[in-house]
Amino acid sequence: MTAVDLFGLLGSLLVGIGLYGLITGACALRKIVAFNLLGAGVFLVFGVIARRGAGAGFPGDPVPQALVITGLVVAFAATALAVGLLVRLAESAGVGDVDDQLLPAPKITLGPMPEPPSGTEERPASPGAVALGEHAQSRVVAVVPPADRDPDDQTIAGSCA
Amino acid sequence: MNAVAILGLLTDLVLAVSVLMLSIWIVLTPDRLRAVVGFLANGILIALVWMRLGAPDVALTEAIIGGGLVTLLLLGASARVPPESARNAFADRDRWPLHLLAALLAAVVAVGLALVVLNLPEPAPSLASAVATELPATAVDNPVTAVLMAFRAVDTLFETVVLVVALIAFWSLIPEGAWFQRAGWLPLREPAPALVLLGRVLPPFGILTAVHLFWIGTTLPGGKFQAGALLAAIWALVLIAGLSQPMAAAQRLPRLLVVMGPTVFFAVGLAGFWLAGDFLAYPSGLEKPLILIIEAVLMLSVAAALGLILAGLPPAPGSLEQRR
Repeated sequence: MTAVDLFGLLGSLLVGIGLYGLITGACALRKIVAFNLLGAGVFLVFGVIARRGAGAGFPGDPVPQALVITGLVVAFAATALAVGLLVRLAESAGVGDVDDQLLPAPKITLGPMPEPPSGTEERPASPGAVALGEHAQSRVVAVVPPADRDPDDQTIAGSCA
Repeated sequence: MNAVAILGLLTDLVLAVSVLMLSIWIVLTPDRLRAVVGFLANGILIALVWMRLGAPDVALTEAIIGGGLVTLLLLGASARVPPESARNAFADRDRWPLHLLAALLAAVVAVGLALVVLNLPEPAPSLASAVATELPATAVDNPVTAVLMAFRAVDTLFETVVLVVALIAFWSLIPEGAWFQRAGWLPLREPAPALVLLGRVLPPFGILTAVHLFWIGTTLPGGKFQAGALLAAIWALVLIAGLSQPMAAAQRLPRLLVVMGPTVFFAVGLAGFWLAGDFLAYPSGLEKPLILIIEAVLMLSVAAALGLILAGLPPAPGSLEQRR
């Protein structure tokens, strides 16, 4: 077995490991990490193809190598977008994940802005309740967590601490 | 097989096994912060693999962007996203059939890909000789730079546009009413004295190295992406140490810096229509100066775009983050 075959195998296995992590990742951040592992595997396969195309005095075919360089920059941009979405989700809804199977879905109500706390009407009980779009003039989306959800849930370090 | 070749193969074997074990650990470790730190180490190891594959240009890019900058983003996110609830850990135990299915699927994909990689056609198709034949026409000695800036310049042009679009998409996540506020992901509240010292000492060397990488990029491994990413990393270090304030999305200077590169590239490409007869064709005799100008401007744009993404988003008005 040559070094090129060895790294080809490594690239293929990285794709497999990344795919497994992407599907089973316990939280969205783990999925993003796994997605980047998968990408690294794909790039390595590209590198192996470039290495096999060595010739004319070059250690590798420069065309796939140049493609990998642009690919790495684009992968960074995609990761940045995913991370940005995740952080904003955590900020605005108070949840750290996109897993919709384990927690009951929050009720999304469309309607006029809830009364301010000084009013007689009681605010939604949970501190997790967030009114989105406070700057909208007439209609807001209020995400009201279900009553059975423990607000202290968020602070317990769990499988993905 | 002589001793050096055997030693080289042994090195490759150790390297490949290390990357493999570390990747499995990253996916399986229960602590997500450990996974992110492991990902950084993995990026550096993969950069070494790229060196062994004879691709120093890619190795530099992987070490800086694939290892360093991505990890910085992920670290920032893991500090901002609340930890998973304990309920998920219990629910995970009931999900073993899903994990088994996912493992089977991943194994099928990996084995299939491995079979394809091991049975690639012989002799390998290659554009190396075509690049070697045309290389003198570009007046550039580094074949990868020649591919990026001349033979596949359209790819590079649109890739820099992708970076601008990515920044626009990223900034579209800025909370309403926070557009004039400074991005808040990087600065530490109380940076350690050693970090502040590093933030003061390292930038001159980092900037020098970046300019060097850009300048030699036409003849030796290096170029605008590596140099720009290094500049962005230095900027991030200065921001983390609190020695400089991050920019706000509404400021004009960062916006101008980001769009300047693709604009200049596009303008030179259009000028090619009547100077050299085709889009992105360089007039003969001016290839190298034009490529250097484009690379210099693109380096600044790449640095600005990556740096602005690393700086993150401003906190939402009224959020906990902002009140602190």
